[in-house]
Amino acid sequence: MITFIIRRLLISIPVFLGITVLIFTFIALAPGNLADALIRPELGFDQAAREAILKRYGLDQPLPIRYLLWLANALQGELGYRVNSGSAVGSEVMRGLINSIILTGSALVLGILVGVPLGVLSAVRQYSKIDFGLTAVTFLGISLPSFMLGLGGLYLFGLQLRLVPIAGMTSVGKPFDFVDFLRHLALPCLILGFGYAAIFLRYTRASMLDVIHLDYMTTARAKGLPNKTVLSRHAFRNALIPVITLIGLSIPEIVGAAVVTEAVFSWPGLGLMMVEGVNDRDYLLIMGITLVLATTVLVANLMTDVSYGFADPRIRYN
Amino acid sequence: MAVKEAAAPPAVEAASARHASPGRRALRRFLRHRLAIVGLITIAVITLLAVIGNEEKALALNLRPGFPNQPPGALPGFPLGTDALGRDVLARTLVGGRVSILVAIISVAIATGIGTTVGVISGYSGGKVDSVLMRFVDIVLSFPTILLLLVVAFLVGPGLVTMMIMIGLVTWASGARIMRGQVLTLREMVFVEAARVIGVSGPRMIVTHILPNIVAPLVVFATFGVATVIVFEASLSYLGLGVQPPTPSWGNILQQTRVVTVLERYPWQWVPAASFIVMMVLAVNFVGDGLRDAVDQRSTSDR
Repeated sequence: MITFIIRRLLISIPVFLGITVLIFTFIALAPGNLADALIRPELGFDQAAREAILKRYGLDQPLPIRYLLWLANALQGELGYRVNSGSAVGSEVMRGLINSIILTGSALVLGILVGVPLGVLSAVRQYSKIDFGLTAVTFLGISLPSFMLGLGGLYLFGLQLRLVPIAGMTSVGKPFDFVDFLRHLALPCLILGFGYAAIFLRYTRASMLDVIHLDYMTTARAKGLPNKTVLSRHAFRNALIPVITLIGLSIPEIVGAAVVTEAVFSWPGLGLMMVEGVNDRDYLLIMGITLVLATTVLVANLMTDVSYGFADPRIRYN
Repeated sequence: MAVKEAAAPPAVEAASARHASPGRRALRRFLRHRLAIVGLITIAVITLLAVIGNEEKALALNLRPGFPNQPPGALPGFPLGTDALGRDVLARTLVGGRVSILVAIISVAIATGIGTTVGVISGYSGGKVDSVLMRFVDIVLSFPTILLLLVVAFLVGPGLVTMMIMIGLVTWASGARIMRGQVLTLREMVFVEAARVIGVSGPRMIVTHILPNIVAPLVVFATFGVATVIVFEASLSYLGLGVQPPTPSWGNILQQTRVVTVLERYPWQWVPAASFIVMMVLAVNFVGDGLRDAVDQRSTSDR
């Protein structure tokens, strides 16, 4: 197992570098650059000021040199500075990442904790009233975009009923208060969590139904095992593999994929920061965020592969 | 989803379906799916409304005092009220629907085209080509789509045409995987083998024997794709990176709600667009479910 992990990590390095080269090249080739964003059109076109900006940010160097400079700095944890505020990209990205993980991560955990058990229940009681009800709710959870639920929820619970605060992570101008923070988190987290719960319910149900009618289940029942043991040890463990894959695929989403929900609730996460970066044409910020994103994707893939081994002893890495 | 329909006695269905062609049987299964029919009618009505929307009225500014931000019924000729620039909310919502639906259709066409090409080439060639292409698909799929869209928006800049292309460029991967799976099973079928034995060339095999047999999953993929793309358009335009004003779209009508006053005090300005998005997405999903059950032979009695 350990050699497998090490080998996978070693393979990840060139993949990772490849991704950064690709993104760097694309970003550099994109029309419009920092100088265009910084020089205001109403001030008129000033060639000298433009060159000064290009030089100051190292944009006058050839592309490979620029990439190597960026990489050398990035390896030392130095990701450059943001255009609009001048603050360090590294610490800004970290702050956004933590905020995004708080929101999307908690929603994902909520979704798994609610969706997986209900999915098992739905499959075990196939065609029962509970199953019909859960399937209908699941359909809504999967079809209704969290965007619309967010706007509706904000309007209803935030603005009309005044049950929850309408924006941000904490109340402005007050010392940090955990209860206050939870009230800010509640609505966006529930809305995202509802979507995740629906997806996990549907996957778990389908996956359980696939194994529940297999011969070895009958065998296990025939040799007199209690129903509970058969379901938990024989069925659930085998049904878990697709669910683990889904968890692995969902993990990269904690890096700000809930952009729109972050925007609706003014949650200062990585997704919203990326939108700012696009508007400011802040390529260092975009590079920093993509770096975090690529790392998360690679780590999540590795974790998924490793966890297969725990769920299914037939899978061995050698 | 098709649980209720499964109540029909299988024997009766088998007897009546014996002489019907597979396409006719699929059509019958689809029509039996009540929600799918409701969805289809909803889509037709919304599309019709979008087509008859008055573009001139949707763009006409009216900044005279007493015109901006009027609720429904306050001004004659503005049944759903006006927005901050005194424009007709009804006309903007309908024309916005036209833009959103157009984006959805074109993006889905692009995604389906790329997905099918990659999937068929991958599945049909097998070997190294297959593993390289599928690794690439895996990588694309492991990145959250909306973040990829943001990166592409950064690269090409916002706009209507660029958005159609970029949504198409980031949503094809799951289609490629589905098509590859289909081709893999088809490739082993006797009729394909027979065609190969009599010397049918690769491209001709794909066009005459493979493609006609994967149309069904292709249509299902494209249908669900429409719902996905409508949400992506709304999201990107809401973030200010999609359709740019003054052209209306469901997404950039919702962009106005980023001003809390609009969200709180002028719900008539955004509720119609939001309701249309919700109805459209639900309707498309109903139709998609119906289609999937209709073309999936396994699902006649099970599920």
